Amino acid sequence: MFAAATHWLECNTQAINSINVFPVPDGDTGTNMYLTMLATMDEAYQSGSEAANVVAGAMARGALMGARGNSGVILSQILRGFADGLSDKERFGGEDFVAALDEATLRADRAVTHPVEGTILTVMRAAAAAARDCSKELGGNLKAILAVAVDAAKDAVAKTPSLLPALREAGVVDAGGQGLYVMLEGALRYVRGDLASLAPLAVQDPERSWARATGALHGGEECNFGFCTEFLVSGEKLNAGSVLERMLDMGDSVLVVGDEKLLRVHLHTAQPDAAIAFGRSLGELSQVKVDNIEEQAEQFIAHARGYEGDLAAVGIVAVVSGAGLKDVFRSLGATATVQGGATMNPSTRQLLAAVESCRQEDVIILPNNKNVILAGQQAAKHSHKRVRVVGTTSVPQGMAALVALGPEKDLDANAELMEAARQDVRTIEVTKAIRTTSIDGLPVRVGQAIALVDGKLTVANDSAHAAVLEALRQTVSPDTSLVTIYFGAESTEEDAAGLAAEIRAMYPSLETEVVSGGQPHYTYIVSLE
Amino acid sequence: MTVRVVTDSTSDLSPDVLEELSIVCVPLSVLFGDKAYRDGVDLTTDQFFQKLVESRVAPSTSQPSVGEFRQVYERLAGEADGIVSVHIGAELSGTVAAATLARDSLSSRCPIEIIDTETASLGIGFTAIAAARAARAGAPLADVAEAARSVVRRQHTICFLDTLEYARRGGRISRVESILGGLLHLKPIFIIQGVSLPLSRARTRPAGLKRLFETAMAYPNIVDVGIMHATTPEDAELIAGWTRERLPGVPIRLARLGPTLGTHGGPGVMAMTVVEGEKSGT
Repeated sequence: MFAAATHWLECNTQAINSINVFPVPDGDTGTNMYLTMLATMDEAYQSGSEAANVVAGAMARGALMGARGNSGVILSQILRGFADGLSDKERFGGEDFVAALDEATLRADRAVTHPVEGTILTVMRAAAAAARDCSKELGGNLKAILAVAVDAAKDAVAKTPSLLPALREAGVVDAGGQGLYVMLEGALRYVRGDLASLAPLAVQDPERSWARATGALHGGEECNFGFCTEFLVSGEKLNAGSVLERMLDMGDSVLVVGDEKLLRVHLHTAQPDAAIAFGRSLGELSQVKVDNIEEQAEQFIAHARGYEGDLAAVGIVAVVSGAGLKDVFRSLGATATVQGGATMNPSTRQLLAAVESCRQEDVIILPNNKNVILAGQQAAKHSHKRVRVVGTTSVPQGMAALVALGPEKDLDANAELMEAARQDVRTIEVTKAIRTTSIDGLPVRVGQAIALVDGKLTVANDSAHAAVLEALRQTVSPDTSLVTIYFGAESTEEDAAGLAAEIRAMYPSLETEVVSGGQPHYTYIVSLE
Repeated sequence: MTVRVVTDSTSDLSPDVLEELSIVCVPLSVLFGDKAYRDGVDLTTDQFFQKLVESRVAPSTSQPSVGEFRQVYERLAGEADGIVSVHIGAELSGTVAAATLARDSLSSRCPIEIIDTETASLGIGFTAIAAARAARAGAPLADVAEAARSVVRRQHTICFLDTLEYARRGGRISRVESILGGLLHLKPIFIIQGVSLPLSRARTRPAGLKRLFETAMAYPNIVDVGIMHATTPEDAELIAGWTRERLPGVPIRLARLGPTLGTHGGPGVMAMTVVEGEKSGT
């Protein structure tokens, strides 16, 4: 049923992405929720069980690890609640479903520090309440109850603009809420038999889900070094769990998917031959692939050399996209960096892996994006290390926090210092609007350059340089002394130098620096200190 | 009993203070290429910083010769019953080594206590002043030496560098390098405890000066404050203002940073020394 929900969600992903209020090309809710569900379903299939409570538990685990973006994390909590509600039920009917929905609502609300109405939380609550209200009347009939829940969700989604002014102004409904409604609708279609021909996701399209899953491992974490090793093993009574454990002994970035007859394995290891030999001992191997991760090898060596003597007491995990930005964070002392991929939002699993890769037992996560903070908090909660999240919402905040790192200070002292430091820097981000809309009364045309000041969209202009200058006019204060321009992949050294010259002309008393960031989506990220 | 106090030019004490407390100051040498200047004698601080910026060759500082110390000790031994010699940290300069060699080569019966302050600038200055005051009050050698050592234990000297360029030129940073980062220009704050230990870093001068100040103020029960500048007296005044607000009534001594810290710190370098009050048993 959930596979159907996921499939239906996938069909609607683009539509959901397109209703994001913010016309910026990252952090797409639809994609985040879909990727979260893919991880969820992978784990569900691995459980190899048909008991509802077991599968639900597996799904909750999968969602937890695979959660991307705030919407992904909330969804993972919804699934956790759902699993808790079904805790002792091997099969579930209407009544059980209602109870599970209630648990899911409770969990969802608790996931967010300041729950806001007009979001996925409202939709979840409406669906659960409607299901509860009607269940007696409908005699516990699951299909009927689900139908009521779906209708309630649809209504709640339609009402979200009346609860959140930003939605009303942009003329859209809440993306997270829409995503949840779509999933419930998909489940209903399955239960009704409308999508009966739908086979479980993993088998239907193994290549795509595999590519996505391993892509996440590559695009994201810092691989230590070694060989990217993959193979298929076919045999009898294969045990994915024990293979996973064995692979974890040999390397990292491990993924093991499949069933007792066919397992697909991926890992990064310094001894690919040992991993393959082990695979061969289990059955017949096919599609064996070994790639030398040379680039990462060099990086690891450079990394190790740099940190041999003076290991800071606290490890720092920084979320960053862009080769130049990654280098800067490294040079400032980040122990590990995590990339978010297309949506720029890494999963909880990726963050956890980065935390693990630090040699320190105390780690601080710098999310550098407000859509990554929840996933960071999940990683902190589920790591056996002592982890704190400093709520940086932009790359400049992350850098300011990292500059404040005191290598001899302890975890809490550093978290405090970094929290104070991140508040002293102002951030301007310039990108291209991906749709025409209106934000806080400001009209935005698709394709225009838009500038966000500390996350708030305040400037729209046909020229990126003009957008930066206008944003600067709004942001420069008597305390400002240094402006740093990080230019992205869509810009060039020359363009950035030109912008710097314009800024120096406008503000001769300020120091202006240019750094190559290489970041996607944001033509310029500018910090004011 | 007369005890005399000797120090060196890295103590950054002004001629007035030296004269008032009868402290004898032995100058270090500053070398630009093959020309040597005696710090404070042949070269003023202003002249030094001008040459620092203009010269393509990195200057270096060198400890006073054993001979210079012998001369000073011999002369003082004739008029005093004991000498306390207060100097820049032994890991920063060979001055203590030179002083020790000089003392050991003398046949005079005048006992000489050499104090390695493990620090620089007013960290040494405050130590010498404490010793001189004790001497002026007529204390015996052991007590004068103890007065000095007590300050050594209670003082904290922190520096702020505007740029790492001069330190790199002098080849002095290695430990420090790893926290300072090469891709963004960072301004380090150090403490001098035997060696220079990096404490933190800042992206802008205003933030760095604040950090310097807050680091100094974090120590408890401060009874003396020193604020040192090289080429930016207005920043010293700024920090003095903050200090007067934070610690009303605590005496503030302003001083000019000499070539030793100047060579590695470059123009724009700032420093502070704070001395904690005595606890019983310190």
